[in-house]
Amino acid sequence: MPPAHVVLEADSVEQLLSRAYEHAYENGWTDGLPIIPATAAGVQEFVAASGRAREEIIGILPPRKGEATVEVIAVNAIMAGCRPEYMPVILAAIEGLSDPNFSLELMQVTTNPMCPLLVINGPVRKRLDINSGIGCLGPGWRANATIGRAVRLILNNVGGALPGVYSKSSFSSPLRYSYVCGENEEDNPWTPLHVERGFKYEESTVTVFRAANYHNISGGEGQGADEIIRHIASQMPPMFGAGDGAMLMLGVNHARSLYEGGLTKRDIQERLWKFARLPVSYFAESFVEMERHAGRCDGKTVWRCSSPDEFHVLVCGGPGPQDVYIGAGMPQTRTIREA
Amino acid sequence: METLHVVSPEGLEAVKHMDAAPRLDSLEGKTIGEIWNGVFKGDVTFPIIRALLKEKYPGIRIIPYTEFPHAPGTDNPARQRELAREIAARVREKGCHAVISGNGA
Repeated sequence: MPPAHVVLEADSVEQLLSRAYEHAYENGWTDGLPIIPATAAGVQEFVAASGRAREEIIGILPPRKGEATVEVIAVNAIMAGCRPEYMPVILAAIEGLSDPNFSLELMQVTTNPMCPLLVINGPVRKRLDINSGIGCLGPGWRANATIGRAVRLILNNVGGALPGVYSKSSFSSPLRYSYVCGENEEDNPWTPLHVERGFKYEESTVTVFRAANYHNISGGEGQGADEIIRHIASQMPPMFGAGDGAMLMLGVNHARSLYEGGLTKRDIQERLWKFARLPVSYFAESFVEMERHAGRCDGKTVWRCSSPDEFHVLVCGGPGPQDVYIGAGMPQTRTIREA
Repeated sequence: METLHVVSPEGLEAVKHMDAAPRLDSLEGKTIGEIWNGVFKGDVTFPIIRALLKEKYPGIRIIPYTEFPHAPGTDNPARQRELAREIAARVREKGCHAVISGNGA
């Protein structure tokens, strides 16, 4: 069955566009920002660009148990301001978020502000102008801004995570508008994320993470590989909501320094695991007990992660003494099937 | 007059709606289970809630959270589903008329 239609009327095109925004807002279809109204012709164009059948169900999204068909995903992508060629990326992201091991339902209803983080790898980054370099997590790039926004609209409209209704996030998060970047594979001296996760270098993929925060580590403190990692690890405290993982997006300067210092990615994971620990005296006893139960406490210190494998090391962004720490785990990677 | 046919972004639901079970008229004489997921101080709040309920409904019988699975760190969806089944079975076994399934401070 095709999605419901409504006919809007106004005295002028200008008023009609305004009416379309107001209608969407009144029906709880937006994130609060203006939308592009989705027409049948637009939906047809976006479905065609996906290379998939319009009625194909990509996922059943909780808590509403809404059917995320290609057609409904197209409607949300149009509203978010996407180009038709972004469709395969959004479909792959929804596939990943729908994986039974991702715990999407918790994300949709919890008081915690956790949100999806999308990392995109492969040639699709260049074809769609997905920013992986300078400013990659900020405003200014249409693909980064609107792909993440489309995912948010889908989670709200199809999944029913309406703020204050089913989503009980106490503060929510600005990261819920859009949280998307490419990996800077060109400046990554090691293996990129998707290859590490079993995909081919020339494949395009999206990896969805459950993310809890954004923390920029500034200043480039430390001399040499060991001190650089110690400084980074000192800013990785234990936290709720990150799906047991921690992501380090190394800036290109530090990635080069650590590589030239002879470190492999595994070395970095192991050092972060060893250094990202704080004394139990810093924490409430009940938290220490919970972390002990989760395998992140040895009685003297509480650890950021229970094993080196839970640290995800990427290279992103542009030049400068900056790195980013994101509490992020439960990765699910899907191939982007371009039409 | 300008017109625009816009498409709804909601899509269909994959489930049939069901009515909630009838609410209990009173908690007096009823058996109530405490369900806790191991976080947000349920071990502190449940004893307080328990005492207040017993004061208001002297005939109430409360099965404490310690009688049900209450492991923290249940981020794993497969484990969550398993726990839900275990809890439902224990609720039936204990003869609960209702459970308190969410509280925190």
